[in-house]
Amino acid sequence: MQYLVNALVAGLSYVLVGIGLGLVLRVCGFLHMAHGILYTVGAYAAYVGVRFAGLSGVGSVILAVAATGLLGIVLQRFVYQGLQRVRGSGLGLLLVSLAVYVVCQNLLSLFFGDETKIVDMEDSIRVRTIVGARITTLQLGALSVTCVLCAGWLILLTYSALGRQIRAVASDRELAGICGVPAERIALCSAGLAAMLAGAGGCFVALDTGLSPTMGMRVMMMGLVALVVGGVDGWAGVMVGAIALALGQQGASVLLGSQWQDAFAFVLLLVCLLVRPQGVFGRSVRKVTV
Amino acid sequence: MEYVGHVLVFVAIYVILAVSLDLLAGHTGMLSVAPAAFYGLGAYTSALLTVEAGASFLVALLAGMIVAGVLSLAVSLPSLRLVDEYFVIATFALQIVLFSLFNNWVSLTGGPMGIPGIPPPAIFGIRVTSRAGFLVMASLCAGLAYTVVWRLSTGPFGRALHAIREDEVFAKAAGKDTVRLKITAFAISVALAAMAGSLYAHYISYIDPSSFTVMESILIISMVILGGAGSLWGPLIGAIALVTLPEALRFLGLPSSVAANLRQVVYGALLLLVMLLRPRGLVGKYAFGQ
Repeated sequence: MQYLVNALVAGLSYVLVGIGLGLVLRVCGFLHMAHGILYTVGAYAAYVGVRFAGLSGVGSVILAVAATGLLGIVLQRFVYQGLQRVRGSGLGLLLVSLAVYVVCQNLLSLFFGDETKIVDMEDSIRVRTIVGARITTLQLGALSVTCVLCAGWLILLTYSALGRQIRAVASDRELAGICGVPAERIALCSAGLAAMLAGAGGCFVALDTGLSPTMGMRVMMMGLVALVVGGVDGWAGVMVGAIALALGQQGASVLLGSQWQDAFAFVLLLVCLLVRPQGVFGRSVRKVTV
Repeated sequence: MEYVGHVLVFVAIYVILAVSLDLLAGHTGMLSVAPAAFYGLGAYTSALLTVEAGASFLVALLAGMIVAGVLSLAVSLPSLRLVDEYFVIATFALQIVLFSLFNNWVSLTGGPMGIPGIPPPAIFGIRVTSRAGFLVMASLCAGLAYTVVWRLSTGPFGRALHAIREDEVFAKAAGKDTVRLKITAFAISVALAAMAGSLYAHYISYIDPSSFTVMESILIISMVILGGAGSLWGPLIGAIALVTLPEALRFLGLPSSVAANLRQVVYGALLLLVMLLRPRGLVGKYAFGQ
């Protein structure tokens, strides 16, 4: 039972990062390698909020989400879209976002230092025991907020006008543009939404266990693995993929030793690419086309 | 003079890394985010074989190259049949996982403590202990790597790689086995990177995981892009520039904790600017990701 709780808590970051990665990949058309930094920025925003601005846990989450959403929109508008208009290749943008990651991560290191920090919130955290597993109120809150966010995200996507436009741009950008969907504005919205989800994930982890400038890279890779396993062209698959990945990692670390958790993710990715490259819930595989 | 010799040895090591990545990124148009992982794999294999098993330097060097080449198949066989993004995801995952194994598989790799006491190289009974001797050896290896990439990229093999880079579907239609060509190019590229790792391990005589991070990979990518992908001079110039630049920054007298981060901000910003303003790099012919 304790393992299950640990896996779910780890999985919530993967879900939030994975959804955003998939959204940017499909709507903006490139793999956003700087997505991990949005997660880290969310963590640091929460840290600043609690430590220096004296905000409560909830207040700092709101601050973190707002800050990362803004950063995501600024990056998309002033860095990626500028380049995308001149020349539109996905690999070029991927490389640019990698450079953005390096710059941002090291700026964070310069300002806050390289060491791992802990947000001290003891007074508001109680440990509860639910069917034999220890869980803090914070973890419980983060899990329920994540569930609400996932459900809200699916509802937004399926039923709202914005969701319809996002799906239109994701499935065919040019055609959506012809039909009057403002593709660039939708891309901007998506980048902002994706960033906010990543930021929320980052600040939950910061409040729960701690934060360091390099925390985003590994989580981003897990989000990618969850995305590929769940299926890049589906919207709900990544959630299942993330939970499966987190459970598998927990299992691997219990059975084989904790150094094998990340290796498990890698093996899962390779097996998935070999056996079912479209993902467990995906329908079609992205192939080289003319 | 000792200091200049030291810098020159590093220039030689990074020339090998940059030239080997260029075979992939510049000539074939595939981006690997894992050059540092294979660099580390070569270093660790070679170090473990000489320290733990008492193997000779040449055997350890070759073993490192073979291990890297074989592991490259695990990445390339599943991912190269799909679009470029999957290859990036797979190499990215490998980078994170290998670093995590170097760092956490303490019983084998010593974890963050690393492996000390790696003997200096000895070739047919001649021990290379002086810096000048090592510089000659590293230069010979760099020359070898350069020649290999030069011969490969100008011959029929190179023409086929260029065809893949320009239009993969067309190359396939012209009867080229593109998947096999890409797998071969990747294997050769990582074997050369592993050679650089082995040289590094025996030169410094101590290795730890911090030399083989994602940041290191991005540094190597920056060298190729800055110099100019797809040209033989480009990576050479990029490697020389990015190895000597921080040495120049050293004379500014910044505290070492700030200097390391600042250096990486400069690398990232350079990569960003080159991608935005001059994607062909300083002397390159091919603008990556167009």
